[in-house]
Amino acid sequence: MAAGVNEAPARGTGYLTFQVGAQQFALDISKVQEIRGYAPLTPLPGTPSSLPGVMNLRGTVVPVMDVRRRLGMQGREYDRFSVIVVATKGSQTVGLLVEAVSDVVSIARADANPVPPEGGGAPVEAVALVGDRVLTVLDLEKLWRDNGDELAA
Amino acid sequence: MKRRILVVDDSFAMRRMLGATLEAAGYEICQASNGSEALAVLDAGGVDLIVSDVNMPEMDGISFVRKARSRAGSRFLPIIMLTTENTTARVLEGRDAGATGWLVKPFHPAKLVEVVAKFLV
Amino acid sequence: MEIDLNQFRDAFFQEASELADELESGLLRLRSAPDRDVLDRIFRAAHSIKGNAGMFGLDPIVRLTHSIESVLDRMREGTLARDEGSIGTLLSATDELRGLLRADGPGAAGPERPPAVEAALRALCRAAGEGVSPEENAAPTGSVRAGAAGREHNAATLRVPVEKIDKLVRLTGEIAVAQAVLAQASAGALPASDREQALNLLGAQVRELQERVLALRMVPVSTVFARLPRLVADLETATGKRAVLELCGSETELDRTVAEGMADPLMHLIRNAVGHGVEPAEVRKAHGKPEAGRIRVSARHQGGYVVVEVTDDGRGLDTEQIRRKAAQRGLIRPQRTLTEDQIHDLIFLPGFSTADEVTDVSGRGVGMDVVRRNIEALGGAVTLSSSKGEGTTVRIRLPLTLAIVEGLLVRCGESIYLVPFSAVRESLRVSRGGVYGGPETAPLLRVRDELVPMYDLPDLVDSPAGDASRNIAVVLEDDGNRIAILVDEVFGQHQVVVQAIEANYRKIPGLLGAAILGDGRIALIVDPAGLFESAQRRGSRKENRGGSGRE
Repeated sequence: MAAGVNEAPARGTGYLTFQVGAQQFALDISKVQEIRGYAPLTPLPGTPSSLPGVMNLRGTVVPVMDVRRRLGMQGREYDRFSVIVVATKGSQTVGLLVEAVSDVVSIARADANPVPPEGGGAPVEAVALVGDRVLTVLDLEKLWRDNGDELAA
Repeated sequence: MKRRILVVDDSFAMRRMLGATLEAAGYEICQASNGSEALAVLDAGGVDLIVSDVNMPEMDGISFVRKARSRAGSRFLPIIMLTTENTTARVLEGRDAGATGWLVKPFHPAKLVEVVAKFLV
Repeated sequence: MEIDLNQFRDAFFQEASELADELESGLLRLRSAPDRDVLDRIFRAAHSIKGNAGMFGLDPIVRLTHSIESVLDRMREGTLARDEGSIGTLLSATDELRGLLRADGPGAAGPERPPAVEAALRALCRAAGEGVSPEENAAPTGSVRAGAAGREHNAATLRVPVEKIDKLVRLTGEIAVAQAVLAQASAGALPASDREQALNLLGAQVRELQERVLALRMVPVSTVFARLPRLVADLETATGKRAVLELCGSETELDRTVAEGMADPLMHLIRNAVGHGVEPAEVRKAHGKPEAGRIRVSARHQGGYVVVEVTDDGRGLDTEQIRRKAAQRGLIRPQRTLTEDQIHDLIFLPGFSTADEVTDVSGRGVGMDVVRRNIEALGGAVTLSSSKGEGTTVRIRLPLTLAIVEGLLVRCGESIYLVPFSAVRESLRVSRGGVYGGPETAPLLRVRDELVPMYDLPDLVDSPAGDASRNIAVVLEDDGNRIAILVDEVFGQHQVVVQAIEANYRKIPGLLGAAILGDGRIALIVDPAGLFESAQRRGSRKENRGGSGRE
C-alpha cells in the first residue's frame, strides 16, 4: 500500500524538481540524499532495461534507475551530462538517472491534486501546479516496487 | 590404555608440532606453556612422561625439573629436556637437577619418539 | 607414523613474526634507554626463533638469528655498547628477518649469499673483541627439511582467545536445547504460545551464533598500530624532524581483513603527518609549540563502525595553496566558490599531489586518492578536518563486521566477475583442437583425460553474451561435477568484501553479491551453485552426446 496516495503533500514541504523528457517531476526533498554527476554503472544480469546498473557511491553499491525508461519513454544516451539523484527509500539508498535537476520548490496543499490509488499503475503521488509549472510528484516506493522486476525489493 | 605425555614449551608452534608427533605415535598429550602451568598439570595426576624445553621465561626448564622432582607424584617420572645448548656444563646441570634424558635442538621429531619409547615401556 | 610436519610451519611463521615484533619494539625501547629486562627478553626472543627455525631446517633464518643473538649476548655481557649504530644494525637485521619470514618459505631455497646485514652484525661482534661464537648446531642433518615448494605464509590460520570459543560452545549447547524444545512443539506436545516463544528464542540464538562466529575474525587494532613506532622513528631520521607518537584504543577490535587493508593507508597518513604536517623544530619553537610534533592515532567503536583518527599538531592544510594547485591542475573551475571543507576534500582527487613530498621510506608513491579508494574498498570512508597553523585530523570510518570472499577475478567483455575459489579447479587456454562436440551438444572441453561441458560465463548468468570468441576457460567443480566457463581474461586471486545487492536493491539469482575493487570498479561475485544449476538447465535442453569425445 503506497503511503500518502490519497493525501496531498503537506503544506509548504520542499520538493526537488527535475526534468525527464518533456516533463517536470518532483520528489520530496527529505528523501533526497545528494545529487551526483555521471558515475560509471555496472550492469546487473537479469534486470529490466530501466535498471542500467549499479554504481559505487563512496564504497556502497547503489542501484540506478533510468527514469525515462521506467516511465515508458525511449531511453537516451547515458553520458557525462547525466545527473543521478541519490535518494533514500526506507533503509535503502537508490539512484535516479534524470536529465537535469532544477530547483527546490514548496508545494502548498491547495495546489496539489492527489492521484486516486486505482488511477493506473503510475508511480505518481500527486500532480501539482506551481506558478505556471505542472509538476508530477513521484511516489518513490511505487517507482521502485513496480519496476518490471518479478521480485519485489 | 594410552600413556600420557606432558609437553612443556613456551613456543606454541613447538607444542603443536611435538604434540602432534607424539599423538601420531599413539600417546595422549597434555600441554603447558610455562613451568607453573606444568606443575599444576602434574598435581592433577595421570602424567606418565614429561618433555620440557629449557629456555623459558620466568621459570626455566632446569628450575622446573627441580620443582617437579620435589613433588611426590613426579619424583620418578621420566623427564626429557629439549635445549639448544650441548655444553657439558649445562648437560650436567640438567642431570643434577634430575632430568632423565636430553635432546639437543634441532632434532628430528622422530628422534623424540624414539627416546620417549625407550622410557615408556 | 609419518605425519606431514609442514602443517606446523604456519604456526612457526606466525609465532616467529610475533617474536620479531617483540624484538623490534624492544630494540626501539633500548634506543632511548638501557633496560636489562628488555635486553634479556629480546635475546630470548631471538633465541626462540633460532631454535624453532632449526627444527624446520630453515637455515637462513637460523644463521641470521644466530648473528643477532651473538650481538645481543655481547650487549648483555657489556662488551658491546648499546648505541645508535648497533641498535640501527639490529633493527635492519630484524627487517631482514621479517623478510625471510614473509618469503615463500625459505627452506632449501634460501638466499644464495648471506644478507649484507649479517656482515654488519659480525663486524659488531669483532669490534667487541671476539669473533662470533661458533654456530651451535648449524645446518643440522637430522632436522625436518621444509618442502621444496614452500607454501606462502598467507595467514591462513587464526589465533583465537579461548574464551571466545568457550562462549560459542555454550551457545551451540543452548541452541541444541532450543531445537529439542521445538521438536517437541512441532510434535504437538506443547501449546502454541510456547512454540512461538521457542521459535523466537531459537531465532535470537542463531543470530547470536552468526555474530559470534564472525567475531572470531576480529583482531585488536594493535596489530596495525604495532608498525607505527618504527615508522615514526625512521621518519624522524629521514626528515630530521622530531615527532612523538601517541596510540589510543589499541585494544579496539575489528575484522582482520579490514585491519590488514587499513595498514598501508594508515602508514601513508603517518608519513604525511611527519613529512608535511609537523614543522621543523625551530619553526615550531618560533610558534610557541613544543619542539617535537605530536601525532595521535586513536581507535574506538562508534555505532556499527570502528573510527580511527590520525591527528597531528602541525601546520595544518593551507586552503589557499590547495585551491590554487587544484585550479592549476584543472581539477576545479577557478571561479567556483567552495567552502573550506570542500577545498580540503580536494586533496583526495587523483592527480593532486602536494609539492615537496618527503621521500617515501619504502620508495612507493601513494596519494590521498589511493588512501580513499583503499578504505572505500573495505566498505569504509575517509574525511578530514584541518586548521591552518594548528594541525590536521584524518578520520577513517570502517564497518565492524564483514563477509569476505576470496576468488579468481575474471573479465568478460566490459564486466568483471569474481569466482569464489572454493569452486575453482584450474584455468587454461582453449585451443580449437581441444574442443569437441557437434552443434547438438554443449561443447566439451578436453582437460587432460576428461571432457568437461563448456559454457560462456555471461550466458550462464543471463547477461548479454557480446563478443563470444573467448578462449580462456576456468574449470569449476561442485559436488563432483565439473563445468568450464569461458572468459576473456583472468586477473588472478583477489579477496573482496561482499556487499549484498539486496541491501539496496534485490537479490540477483546467480550472484552472491557485488564487491568494490581497489580501483573503484564493481565486480559481480558469482554463485558457483547457481552456475551449475544454470548449466544443467541448458544441458537438459540439448541432447548430450556423452564422453567418448569424438563427435
